[in-house]
Amino acid sequence: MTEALALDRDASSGVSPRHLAFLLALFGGSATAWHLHAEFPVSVWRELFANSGAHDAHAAVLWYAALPRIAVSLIAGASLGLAGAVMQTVLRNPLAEPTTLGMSAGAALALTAATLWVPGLLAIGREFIAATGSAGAALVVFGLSWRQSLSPLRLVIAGLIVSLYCGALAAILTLFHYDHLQSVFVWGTGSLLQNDWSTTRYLLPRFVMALFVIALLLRPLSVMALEDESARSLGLSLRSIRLVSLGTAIALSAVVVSAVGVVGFVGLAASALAKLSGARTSRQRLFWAPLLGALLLWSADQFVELLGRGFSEIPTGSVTALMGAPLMLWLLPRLKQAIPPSMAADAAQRVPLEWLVLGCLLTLLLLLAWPMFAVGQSPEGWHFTQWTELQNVLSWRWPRFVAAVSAGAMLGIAGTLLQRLTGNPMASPEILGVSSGAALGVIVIVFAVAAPGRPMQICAAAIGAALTLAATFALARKSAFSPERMLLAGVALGSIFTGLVSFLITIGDPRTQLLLSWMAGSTSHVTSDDATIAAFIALTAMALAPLPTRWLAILTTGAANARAVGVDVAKARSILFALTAILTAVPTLLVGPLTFVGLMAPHILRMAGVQRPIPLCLGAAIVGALIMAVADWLGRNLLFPYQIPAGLLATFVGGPYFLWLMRSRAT
Amino acid sequence: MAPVAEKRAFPTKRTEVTIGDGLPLTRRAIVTGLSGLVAAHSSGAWAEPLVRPDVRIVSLNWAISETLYAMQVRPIGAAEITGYDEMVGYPPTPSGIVDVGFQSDPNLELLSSLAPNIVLIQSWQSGLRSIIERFSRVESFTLYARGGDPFARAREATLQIAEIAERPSMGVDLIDHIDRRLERYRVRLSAYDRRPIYLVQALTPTNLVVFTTGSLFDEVMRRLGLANAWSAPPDLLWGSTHIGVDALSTDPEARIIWIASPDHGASEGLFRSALWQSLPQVRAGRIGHLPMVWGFGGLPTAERFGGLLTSLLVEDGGA
Repeated sequence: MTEALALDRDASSGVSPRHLAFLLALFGGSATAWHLHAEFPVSVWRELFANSGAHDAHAAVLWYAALPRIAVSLIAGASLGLAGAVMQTVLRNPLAEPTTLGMSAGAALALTAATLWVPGLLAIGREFIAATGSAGAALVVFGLSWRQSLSPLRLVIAGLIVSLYCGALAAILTLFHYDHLQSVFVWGTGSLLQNDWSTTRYLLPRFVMALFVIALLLRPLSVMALEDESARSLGLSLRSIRLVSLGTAIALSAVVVSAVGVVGFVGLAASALAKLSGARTSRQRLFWAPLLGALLLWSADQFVELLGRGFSEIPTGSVTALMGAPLMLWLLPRLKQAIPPSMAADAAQRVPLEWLVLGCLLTLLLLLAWPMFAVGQSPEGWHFTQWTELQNVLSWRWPRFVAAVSAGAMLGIAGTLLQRLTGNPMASPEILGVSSGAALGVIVIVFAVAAPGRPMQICAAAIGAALTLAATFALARKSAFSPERMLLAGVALGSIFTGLVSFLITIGDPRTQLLLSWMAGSTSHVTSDDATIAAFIALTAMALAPLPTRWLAILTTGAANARAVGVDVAKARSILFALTAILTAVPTLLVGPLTFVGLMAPHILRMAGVQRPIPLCLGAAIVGALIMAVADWLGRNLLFPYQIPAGLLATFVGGPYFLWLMRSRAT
Repeated sequence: MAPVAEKRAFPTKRTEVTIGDGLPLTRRAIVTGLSGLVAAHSSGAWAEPLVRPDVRIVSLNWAISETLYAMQVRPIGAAEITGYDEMVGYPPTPSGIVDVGFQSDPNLELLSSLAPNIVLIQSWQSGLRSIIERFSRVESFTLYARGGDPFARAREATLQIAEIAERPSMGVDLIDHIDRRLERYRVRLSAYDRRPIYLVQALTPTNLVVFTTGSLFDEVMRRLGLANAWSAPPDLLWGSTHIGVDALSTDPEARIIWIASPDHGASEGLFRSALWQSLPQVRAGRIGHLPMVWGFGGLPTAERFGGLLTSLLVEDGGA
């Protein structure tokens, strides 16, 4: 696979890993010294060293809380750095780390489920539960990208999707147990609080063991960083070395998750910093990444301690997630991509049956509409609503149905536009962070204005979406919108959003309750006005679709060509931006930012053989509508009278098909 | 502490008992039912049948549900009944009540088909108001907000809810009953050594919340003449702060009471950790623990908490 990324070789700044480590150690050290000095006077230290058995209260806090916390931050950081570096070396993927490959999310889901259903298992072994979840997620991620020989881009996308799945599942679990929400949350955001040395005793031998295994494999691993061919010519069994080292990294990251929760981006940051500061060979990186990881997490944690003094505890993981995003954005221009994207070729093949496919899909939607209206659960069980009694339920069912269908259609169009605009088959409002941008816009307006009305919310969401789009494009422009850069930017923006929401939940603002239910994508509060507006926008977008898709067809052939046929490139692009922003903002308000319909719908169409822009755009709208309609119906009936938000279910309705598609499609 | 002054602030004594509509209900029946409040969590014996009022009431909030059940009023529907019985359960949900789905996202179609006259919510649910008002009157109560006294608010809400249920006397009687109970606990607590109390609950095996001013528990303790050892204002919603164990060493003379978490003991490792064991209060044996009590309830929960705390303190914390 040629999508591999390579970092710029020139370390023009003249920084070496040694300097960087020294700087980090200096920062961490002074933060620690300040914090320890302020909290524990000399007498406490004297007490601690004088009698190591029975301490007085203050010395006990130093011995059982402050010092283990430092130890745990160092070991956990080193473990994450090591896991990240190994994953990056084995997979030749600079984006690989436990969080981007879905392993942290898998471990977190397994632990959440165990807490809710079989708490007895937790007492026996948190680590086994976490490792099972993490290994399960890893299997799915690798399985999805196996046919593409674990190409870096495929892996990260599969990781993202698996993370999203696990997140959605965990969200459904907490819907029913939201009194546990805070504890699941505290744990999911990674708190380094310690009450004794047990976590240290748990982490240290496991880290040392992993270190030992990797040290044994150091030679083959450094050869593996070269091409497969040269590695094979050295007579190495690639598969078994990959398996052992990856297995070690996965186990190590599961151990960290089970000990302190999800602490994201440390592995990524440590490896990236090692590379950027000039650790060229994989041997050097495998040495420096754990060290830098340890120093990073230690510094971050001590910084959090200073920040939070006298206030409530701030989970360190939520802070590393927030710091990770700017780091990734900063990394972007420094990543060099090997091969330009390939998408324009799509337009070449024509399938004569395109309109027939569209006709079939539309018929399917219309055929399903009636039973979805009429069939449903009631307190007495399943019930087919007769025409005469339909009057009673119609006023409840049509707004949410129409809103769901319109949202799906809009997302389908937005996804098609973005994939065409960027020439990136994996682009979508959700993956490029445009939905997150829209959601951020809504959050800002909800917190800034006492009671924002619908028009104001739509404006805020559209502005948020447009700004994100502009930022993503600005970041990716230099590389001609390479898939990797856009994806990275999207992931980074998405994690800023998640970090912010985590923070809001930690401070417990009452408005987060509403935000959570909206983010999950509940359609049950949709009013008839909302539905009418949404339908109007969706239909208008479908009617106008031929116009922008013609531009798109021209734009994808290159700006010069476009100018030659008389298209004002700047103007066309900004109109497309605005359109995409609106088509993302409105559905985000209706069904939340987490659906993935915008990613799935165009792909499903393309799989069905639809290639040309206009049928693709219209077809994606119909498929998006179908997915959302089914999701809404399932959400209404599956656990009656409890309703599962349609946005959350959309991932499950369209997801399996998309995953199958991803697995079978060899690009 | 001025429980007497407190009393004056609320219209608790209404000697005239009005029982409407000629239903077979006597004041004695209510009081018998109410005294079940204390016995309930041990014996599970609640006086049925409850009165179904002429107004068709649906409660979309657990704190309101418990208040209704304690007043012997049976609503036609309530939100999250399974969750209520697991998390609150005091009083337990009477039979024959329709579950209308989540508190924050009820099943509106089902709710409207019940044709309620009045739907009761708390103000944090007011996003639901406009859509429910299409088919029913909505009454909203504020028990919990940033700051303020949830106990006092619960008393007011109890009177209002009784008024809405067209059984004003039951509200007065419930408050009367709760006041008498709390007064009895206060008297019993004169045997207690007056040490201030940290009230905590484990979130994870390393993280805690401590209940502060603005929580129902803090207000109940204040009314029982007990001091909260945590004096700082809350950081989290509805009167609590997220802390580590070390924060409890600030007042080494205090007593620590922990409330069981709803996670079936998954976080209880915290109370076996070395740091917990080395807390001066723990070393001196000044700790105790209560079964799970829901932190955001109304008057019945307040009374239950007061009763549990009193038995704990008087039994093993006496002077």
